[in-house]
Amino acid sequence: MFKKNSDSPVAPQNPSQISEDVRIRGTITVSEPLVIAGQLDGDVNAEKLHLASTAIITGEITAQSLTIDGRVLGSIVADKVFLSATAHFEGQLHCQDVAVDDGAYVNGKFTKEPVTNG
Amino acid sequence: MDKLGSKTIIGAGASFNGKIINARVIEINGKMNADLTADKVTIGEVGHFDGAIQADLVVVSGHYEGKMQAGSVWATATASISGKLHYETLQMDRGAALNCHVVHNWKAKNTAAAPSENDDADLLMPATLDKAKNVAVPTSPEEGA
Repeated sequence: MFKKNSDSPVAPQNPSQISEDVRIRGTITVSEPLVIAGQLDGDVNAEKLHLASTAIITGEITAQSLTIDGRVLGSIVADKVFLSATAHFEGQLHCQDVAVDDGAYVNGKFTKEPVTNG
Repeated sequence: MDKLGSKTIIGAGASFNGKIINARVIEINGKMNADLTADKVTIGEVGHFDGAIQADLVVVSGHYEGKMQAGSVWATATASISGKLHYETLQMDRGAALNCHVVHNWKAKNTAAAPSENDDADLLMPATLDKAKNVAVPTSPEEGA
């Protein structure tokens, strides 16, 4: 018998987001897209993560796909990373595929390595 | 996409552990183990919140466990609340499960009687509370949470 599992495709109408004025210390784990516009001191683990231009993250980010418009201080482990023109990144980046837009501030160590995590 | 408004959402597929401050409007459908300060908090039907909340308005449809201090609390039919609840106004729908220590008007008391946050003071009857107020206990740390 197959039990209907409620954690199959999660309600797309309410994707997780952290708004601009919010300040967080802690760990977030999300199995769906996540947008962060606030300030986070801690670790993020998401499938598809977008850091808006107002986002400030200090900590470790693990994601499959990551778009950065804001500031990141710390380490990133991701499959695909895009640093836009407004991005500010300092730290270590482990990823398969990275794109950096003209104007992005990047200061750190890049390592290309296959990532096999969710 | 950059502008999210002032709403924070912890979706059903999310879990959070830690402390959140300054969230204006927050909707929780995931699992939270947190210490939260916000204006308005909504715990959705599938939401699980474990920890302290300090807010003006809290709408609970899911599970809550911890110490809540709120101006208005609305427990909907699917709510289940345990722990401690400090409120000014409380609304409860038929079916809501409250299994907690409920204290009215924490805010007024806190401003009038100085921040005495200990559990004994909460249990005092109004008359004795007034007496206690006059004794003017030296200030204890503002926040227990």
